[in-house]
Amino acid sequence: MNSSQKSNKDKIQENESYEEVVPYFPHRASSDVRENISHSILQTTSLASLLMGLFDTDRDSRVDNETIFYGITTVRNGVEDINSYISCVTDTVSINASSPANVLSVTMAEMTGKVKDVLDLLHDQFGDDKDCLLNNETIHAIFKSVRTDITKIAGVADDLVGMLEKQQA
Amino acid sequence: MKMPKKLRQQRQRAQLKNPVLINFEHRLCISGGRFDHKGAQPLVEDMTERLRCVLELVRNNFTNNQIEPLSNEVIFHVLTSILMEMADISALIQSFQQSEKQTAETEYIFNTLWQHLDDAKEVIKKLCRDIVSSVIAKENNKQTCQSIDEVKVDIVNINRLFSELCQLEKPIKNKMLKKAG
Repeated sequence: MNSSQKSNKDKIQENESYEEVVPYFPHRASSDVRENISHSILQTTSLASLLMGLFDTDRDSRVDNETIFYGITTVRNGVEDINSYISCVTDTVSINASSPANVLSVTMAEMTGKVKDVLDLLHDQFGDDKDCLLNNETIHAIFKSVRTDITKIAGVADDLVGMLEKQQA
Repeated sequence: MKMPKKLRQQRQRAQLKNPVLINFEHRLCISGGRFDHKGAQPLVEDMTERLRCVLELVRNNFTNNQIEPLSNEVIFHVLTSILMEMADISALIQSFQQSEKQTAETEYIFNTLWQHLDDAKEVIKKLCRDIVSSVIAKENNKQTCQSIDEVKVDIVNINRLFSELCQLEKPIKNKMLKKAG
């Protein structure tokens, strides 16, 4: 066997093992994009509600900072999921720069970006052992606005997917 | 030659329906196109921490009298998100198992890992069923909290076992590829 044949065999082996060991998430990717987004939105807003409930009362009733920190990370990951589902559609369909779909796509990106920024700011508040500087009322209001924004994202995402599906048909 | 319009449309539709196209970069751990067990360890650690904390929040919702209990629907969706995260861990363990040369020791650890994961999933699924059939009530939550505690123990064990696996021998396929390179 000459060296070029050997390197080809290695390349094939490399490709085979690449395909074999890439983790994929079929549970997060049904064929219906709307369904994926809808599930993701419900889960993310419910998690935000769970966290919001903690800040409706006195400081004494809170769980520890670490729990809140990871709770916020979970909400942030939910927003990332929604982004991924939308990208899956926007990346496969060509969107005209002057079309309403492009406006919606840009709006979506801005909205998810803002929600992520707010969550990051909140994240920092619980990232160390120091007491959170914000009072319960403020954090409650932030979670409420995050929840509202995610619901708005759901509406825009639905319109955008509908528009792109029509364009594809 | 330009592809016929009909064929192009068909291909686009097929792409849209292909689940592999969805980019879950924030949930993956691939280094240079291959599953990276070193990258997976902190990811699984993060996932298990998140799961433990969300479970703690759910438990808190059942036990804390100072906070207003959430509706069953909200709790159901939170439990679903927990199941999803567990399925993410499954995907990572599966990839790791595929990239690992099985020895008696690793096989035992993988089996124990799957056992813990299956047990945890089963408890959460039961909680979901109970929520749907309104068996869970704020007044009678002792058993629910016990179940959540059991899941938390499973989650901690999953993290411990995964770290243990990562500290063992390097995956054989990565080793082989390194040699080939």
